Amino acid sequence: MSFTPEPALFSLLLNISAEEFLLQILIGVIMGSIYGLMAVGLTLIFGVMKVVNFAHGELYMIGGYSAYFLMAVYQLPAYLALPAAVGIGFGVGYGIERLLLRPMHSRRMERPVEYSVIVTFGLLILLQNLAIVLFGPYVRKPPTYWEASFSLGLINIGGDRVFALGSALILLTLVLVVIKKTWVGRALMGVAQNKFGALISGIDSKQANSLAFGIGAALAAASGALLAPLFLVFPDSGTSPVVKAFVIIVLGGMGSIAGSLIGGVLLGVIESMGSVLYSPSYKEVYGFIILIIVLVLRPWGLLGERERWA
Amino acid sequence: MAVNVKYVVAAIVVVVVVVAGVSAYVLFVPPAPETIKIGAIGPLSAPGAYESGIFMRNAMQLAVDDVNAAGGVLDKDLELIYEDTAATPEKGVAAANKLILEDRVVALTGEYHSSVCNAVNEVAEANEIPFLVTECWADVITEEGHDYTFRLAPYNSYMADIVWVGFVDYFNFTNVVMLVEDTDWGTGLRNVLEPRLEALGISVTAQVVDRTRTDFTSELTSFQAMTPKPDLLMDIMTGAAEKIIINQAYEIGLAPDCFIISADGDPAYPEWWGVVEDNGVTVVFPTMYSPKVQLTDVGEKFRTDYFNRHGREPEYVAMEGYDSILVLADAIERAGSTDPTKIAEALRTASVKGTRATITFSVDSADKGVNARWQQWLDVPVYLLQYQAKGLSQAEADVVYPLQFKTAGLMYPGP
Repeated sequence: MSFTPEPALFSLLLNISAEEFLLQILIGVIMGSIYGLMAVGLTLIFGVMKVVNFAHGELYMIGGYSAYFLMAVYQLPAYLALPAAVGIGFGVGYGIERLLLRPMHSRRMERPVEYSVIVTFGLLILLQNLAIVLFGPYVRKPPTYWEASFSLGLINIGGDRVFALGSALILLTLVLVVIKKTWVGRALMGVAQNKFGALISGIDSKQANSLAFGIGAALAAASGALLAPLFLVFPDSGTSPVVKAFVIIVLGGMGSIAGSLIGGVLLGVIESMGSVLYSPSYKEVYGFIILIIVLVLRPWGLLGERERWA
Repeated sequence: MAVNVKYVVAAIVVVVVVVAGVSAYVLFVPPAPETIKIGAIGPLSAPGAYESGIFMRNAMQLAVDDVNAAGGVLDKDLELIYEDTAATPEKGVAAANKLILEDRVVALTGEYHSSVCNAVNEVAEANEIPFLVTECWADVITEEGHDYTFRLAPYNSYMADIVWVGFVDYFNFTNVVMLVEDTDWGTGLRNVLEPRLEALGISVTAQVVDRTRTDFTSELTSFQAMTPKPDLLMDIMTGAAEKIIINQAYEIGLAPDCFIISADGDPAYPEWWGVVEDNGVTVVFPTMYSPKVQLTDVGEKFRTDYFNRHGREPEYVAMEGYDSILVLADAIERAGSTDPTKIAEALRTASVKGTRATITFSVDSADKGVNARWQQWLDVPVYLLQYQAKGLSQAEADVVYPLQFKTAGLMYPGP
């Protein structure tokens, strides 16, 4: 037996039609899945390195600019430009870890957490302003990935959005497979769970840190490149998505990859429904309300793990 | 304790060299010529509209260079000190305080964001320093009746009365939806437009949204679900969001059936086409100048000089930035002094040929503290432009309103 909302009653209760209600949920799921990709990178970095990367939005921005310059300026096709943008993200992330974050693991570092906060926050400001100087203050748009439109009745969904969703789901699956099924992934998991235990097992935790930051940055760059035709590219284009990514990883559980995906979808649906049922003015607030509720009832997030005390 | 003589001699030599160097610098290097400092503020970093802040700064510097090349003011060169406000009122206040207290500027000008102007005008008032607002539109900025705040940009209720309401009514739009940014400018414009349109029997549905957002499909979907369907979308946003909304309106299918107005002037920037592509054709937008209609000899010279220096047509923000410096330079010259109070007095009697027209400020005491006309340039030229083909420059766009200036009829999107 299938459930079909009774249109008149539905409209009376929610002040919107059943069709619009379902569409809003779908929009939320699509956007949440895409944001989840960026959040996975953030949670991977935190899980392995215990670093909150405040410059994650700027890695998203670098992905967007990479896609723009490779496709619009250097005329590369999307199937080459997108992997290249992801590679640039990985390289930048790997380099940042080696040059700027590696010292926090030095024995002489008294306050490594504070150090990482200052470094990543400083990077946020530096990269944003560097982008204004290097690329100009202008808004850019790379060429469309997929010239298509899909009718959902009341509205259409563009090919770029479907392409971003499909690519995000493929990349998320790939990350899960790499983490769960490969030695590299298991090494990262090992460092995330117990750094000293991993060291005893012969895992190079410094290399794991560089890899984790590189992969996290690559995922942020992938999000930026995939969303660039939709949300455009400009020096502070990473600001809005990174705020969502922070909400998502705390909702899903910091360090949990599956939690990031679920948190992303949850946030997308909450924002979408809140906007139409109450007011879009508070779209950013709805996620934080749910976040506060989750933090009060389940501080370790939906799929996170409780901290274990020895 | 034994003292090594070599170290003592080395120390004496170092001291002698340093003292000699400093003395030579003081004696032989001429002091920097005294300048008259003008403090400017504007967004140069996120979350501000840094694009416009940079255009404004470029034009102001060009004006300062032009004034200095013509002999300066009171036989001194002007010096522009431009500070970033990042669209944040507290940064604007800090910048204004720094300019006034540390740099000792004789007047303030600039800014693009109304929320910043609305905070800085209090600082100017408290310090009795003239503040000439370059590009902030919220009524409240001059409505409060401050003695030291002047404005040469248009204001929201002026825009509503001169162009928007007439345009919507004349072209028979009956069901208007608005996406409004949550700033003093955005909500201020909505507040003056909504009652005026509703008084004409036009239905208005407005949604206020965060200006840093990048996805508006939820709101556009709710517009699309309305019965009857909206026939006009007013995009009351700035920066990237303004363009994203246009693209997403086309993506979900709200446009082209629903006509689109951009209440901000950003479509005048040449980057427009690279971002909105075909979707930008027929969008109507306001601008404070049109080369097709009106440009003074000052404006023509500025246009050429700006193009030569920056390789692009001047944006309306640049025009306003250039005019701001001209007006202040004139006021200082006529005041015969750098006393800020005297400069403010001179501004009240200003009559300066700017880039687009002669600039004066209304000082009818009946307006003071009552409406936005106090110390406001009341005759700001405003036109609604429309690109009727893809890839046109602002100079090639057609004026579609006010009707006395129109160069083409309104073109509707779609087949």
